[in-house]
Amino acid sequence: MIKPRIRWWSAAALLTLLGVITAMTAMCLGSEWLSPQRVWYLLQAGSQSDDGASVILWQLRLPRIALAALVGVLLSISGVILQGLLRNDLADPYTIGVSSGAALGASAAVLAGWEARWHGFGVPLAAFVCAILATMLVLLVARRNGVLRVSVFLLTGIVVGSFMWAGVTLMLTLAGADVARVLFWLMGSFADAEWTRVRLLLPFAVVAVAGLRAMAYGLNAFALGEESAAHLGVEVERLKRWAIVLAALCTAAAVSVSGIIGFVGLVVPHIARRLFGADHRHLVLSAAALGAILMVWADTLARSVARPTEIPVGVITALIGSPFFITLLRRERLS
Amino acid sequence: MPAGGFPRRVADFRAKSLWLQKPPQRIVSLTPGTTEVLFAIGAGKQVVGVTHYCDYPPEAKRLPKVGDVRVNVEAVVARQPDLVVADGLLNRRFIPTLERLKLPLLVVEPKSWRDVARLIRLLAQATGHDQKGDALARAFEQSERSLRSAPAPAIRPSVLFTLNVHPLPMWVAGRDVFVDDMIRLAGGRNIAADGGVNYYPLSAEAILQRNPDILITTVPQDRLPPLHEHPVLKQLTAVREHRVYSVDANLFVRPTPRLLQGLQVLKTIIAEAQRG
Repeated sequence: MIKPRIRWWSAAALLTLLGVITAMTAMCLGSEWLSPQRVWYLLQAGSQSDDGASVILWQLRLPRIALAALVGVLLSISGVILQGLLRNDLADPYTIGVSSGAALGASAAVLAGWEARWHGFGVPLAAFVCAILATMLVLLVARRNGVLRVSVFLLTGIVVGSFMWAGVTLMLTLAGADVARVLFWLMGSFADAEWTRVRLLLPFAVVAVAGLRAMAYGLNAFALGEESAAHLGVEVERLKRWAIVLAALCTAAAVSVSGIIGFVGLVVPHIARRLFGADHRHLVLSAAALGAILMVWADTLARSVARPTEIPVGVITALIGSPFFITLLRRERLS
Repeated sequence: MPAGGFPRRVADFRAKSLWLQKPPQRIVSLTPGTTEVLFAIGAGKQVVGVTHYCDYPPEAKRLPKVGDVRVNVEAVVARQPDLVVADGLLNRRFIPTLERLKLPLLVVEPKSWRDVARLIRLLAQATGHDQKGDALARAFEQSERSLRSAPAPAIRPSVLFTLNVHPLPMWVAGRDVFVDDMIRLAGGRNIAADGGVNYYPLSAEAILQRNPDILITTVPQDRLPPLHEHPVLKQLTAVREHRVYSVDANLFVRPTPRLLQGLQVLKTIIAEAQRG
């Protein structure tokens, strides 16, 4: 097990500080610069004002920051769970077919013209339902006699994923005119953030944190191998089932409101383990916090670098995540 | 059929010239816009292949199909065309193949109001309908001249033209699209012109800051979400003052004579806002 580089209390202090700086920066930056004093004043004045800057802060930036943070938490936790469970460094929330399921549902909904249905929830709902269905399918196919073999599960996830991506590609081919909008959704974006979405996603984040905390012991034991975990008193099949359900739920919720944002779920768990230790009891908070911070930074850049237009946030997560991760990897090998 | 002037040489938008022995009788048109122009100048009877999206005029729908935005090159060849009309942007991927097969190819790439006049003239010359084409092209040039001679309007309302409303971001008309010119010709100001070319996603913050007087969308009225309930969009002057309009996309995005109708629609909308 990887030893933490720093003690937990300094880790907590560091993450809090980083979080505050991130939130402040994200509130100031955008298509229009708001000075920190102005932001502070607007925050205290409350959300009722019709003043342009106030609307920008309260109705656009804050829900975006909150949503990005929550999606960051959900994807990171989902990544931690799956990497722990599958004992595979390459596992991420999308290896189990969730993203391709969501992509299929969302593309179908966009092409069917559901974007304005149910107060704008037509597409997210379709994405969520299909994401869950895809994971169920993977689980059903991979299970034999009540036993889930991890390697079979991983492979099934990838194969079902490819199958569904083919469906997405087929639909895009037949669609023609709406392709650009579907593609923008597929690449992931928080441009459509609203407080209602934040409220919908918050319970999922709470469940994710609580769920991972509850599974922490089991996942720690799992790191020693399935058999050892069983000897340590972990109900292996039950843990697998619940871990996968939780990971699927988190990812589906995240993907349905933001589209497919790659990389965070894969890399944040690695970074968190290397910086703050691989004990899942600590990973709950360190991965969640790092995921939130990285995602908020990525979205802030996505909406301010190329203003007045926007860059897909997935591009930024990969652009800033990869170099950071590579540095960390190399340092480790050298020491 | 006026065959005067043939054989003749015509140069397309890439300045590549094509030698035509006689007026082509088997034309394949690879975009809805060029199909519409061909019919408008009276060359409809010479067209033998169109795309699935070619829905105007209704006669065009009955013609054999050779693909959608993706060209089915085999189907094109099977029509044995003596002229193929392609769009340099929409059909970009297929142009090298069409050239390799030595098909008689004209590539158009209209990006502005003036380009539409040029497109109409080019197709008219290539098909032998010079007079009809000239008349239509002049109608386009006329609207630009009349703007130059008219006194500048006291108020130029700001306009945002968008392909979608919800979910954000809106895909809006930037530079190098006809709508940008049309807004100017109709007496308005396109507030998204500086942000990008073609149709591009404009961030919600930028829309709020630029706060258009008029919001025009190609989303049909019955599919338009209630904007006055949207936490952000309800702040826009256009929404508060009920200046949100649904228009027929085909009058604005295709390089055809119907753009003149679209211009009239814009003029009415903008004049209404100028009156206050």
